[in-house]
Amino acid sequence: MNKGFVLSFEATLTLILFSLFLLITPLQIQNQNDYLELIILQQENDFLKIWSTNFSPVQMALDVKNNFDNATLIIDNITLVSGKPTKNSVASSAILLDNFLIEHKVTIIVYY
Amino acid sequence: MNIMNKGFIFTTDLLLTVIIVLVMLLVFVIFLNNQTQLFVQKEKYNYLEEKTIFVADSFVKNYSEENSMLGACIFDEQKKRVLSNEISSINFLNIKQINLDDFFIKEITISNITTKKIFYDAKISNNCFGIKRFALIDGIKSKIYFLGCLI
Repeated sequence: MNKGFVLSFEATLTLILFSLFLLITPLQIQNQNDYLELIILQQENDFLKIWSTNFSPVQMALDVKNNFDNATLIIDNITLVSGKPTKNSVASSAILLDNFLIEHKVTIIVYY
Repeated sequence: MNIMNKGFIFTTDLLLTVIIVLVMLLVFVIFLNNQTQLFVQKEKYNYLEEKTIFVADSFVKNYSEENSMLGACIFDEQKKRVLSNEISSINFLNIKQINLDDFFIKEITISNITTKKIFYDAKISNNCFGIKRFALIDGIKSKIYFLGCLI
């Protein structure tokens, strides 16, 4: 059992275990959600652009609720829509002018 | 007994060892092959996502005289600039398929008061990716759905 020409039984066992170890080690495969952050960022940017043409906090809150599953909307430090924070999020912020040319800081955070 | 463990070149246990090692190597090569195929599939999907996202972004952010698929926004003649996320429905008449060998846009649908398909390609594909963007179309807030596919 333990005397061979080149390899002993223990050496054979070691080789088998080493091969199994190589099989178990997973290769690096890219994350499925590579572009998800970019898509969310683009959608946030779309809304900021749309809201810049017509500033209406009520409508903005509706837009966020209807189009994002889990998002927060903050206007001038007041949270209009509150989402549940998760591990990952994408945030966008802009200064928008209302009909009276008053500045408002708008922040949208999408959690995923 | 001497015949079993004393050969001309190999002994019996060495032969057994070599067989076991070769089987392990074979299993490892099969595993590597599967991982490589998964990686290739993933790369293809990445390519599909990327192309769809970029075409959709171009549609809602740019203006293109030749092909509205690459830019449907309004060009403000007075200000001499493109109004991003503000689209004119007149530009929908000029939407043409993009010229890529391995990718095409199958469908563009807009949704505001009603839902309307503004572009459709009858080519069949099992590998498609959809994305949603937002813009003002003739001043009305709208959702725009893009479906990109691999040939």
